[in-house]
Amino acid sequence: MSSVEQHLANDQFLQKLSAFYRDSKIRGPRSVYVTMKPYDGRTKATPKDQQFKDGDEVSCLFRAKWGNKKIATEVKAKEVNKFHTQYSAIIVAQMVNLEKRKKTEDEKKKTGAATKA
Amino acid sequence: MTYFTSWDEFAKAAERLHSANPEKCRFVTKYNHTKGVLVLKLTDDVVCLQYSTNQLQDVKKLEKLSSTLLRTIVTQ
Repeated sequence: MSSVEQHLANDQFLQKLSAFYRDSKIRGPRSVYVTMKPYDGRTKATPKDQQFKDGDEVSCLFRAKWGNKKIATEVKAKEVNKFHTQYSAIIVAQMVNLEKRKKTEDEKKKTGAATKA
Repeated sequence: MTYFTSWDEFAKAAERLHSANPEKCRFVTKYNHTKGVLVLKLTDDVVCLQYSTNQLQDVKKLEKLSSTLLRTIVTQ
């Protein structure tokens, strides 16, 4: 990632993420990337092998990338439940062009055997 | 690094890698609507675990896994 992005509020991030998924279906780049990683609030590179400072509240950094558009947000520990509920709703609503479950060969054999028996 | 072929193996390996060193781990999802492909990746810059799928049911599993990882991140 190039420059440090301005972090958006959680709600705003989710709105934009939703728009990324929606727009990627009809125009522009096709892939949307979402990254999550731990974040302790510092904006400068850490020296090699240095751990997160003790006592710092660790939050979670969410980044999303669609083409050259990048957004990011910091999810605080107490916001995690709320954020994840909303995030789940978005992925369930947007990741729809996937195949419905088909029975694998093994299961077909099993059910076949079961009906025979 | 090759893709995992089974979700359970991926999820197990992912949780193990993540609990070993949560600070270094990042989790990436890539969704391509036109191709109908979802790719998940978890790496600590040493080991890289990847899983690719076109199955709708894996979204539910992703929901669960991301929740677990998210919670581990903030409670470390």
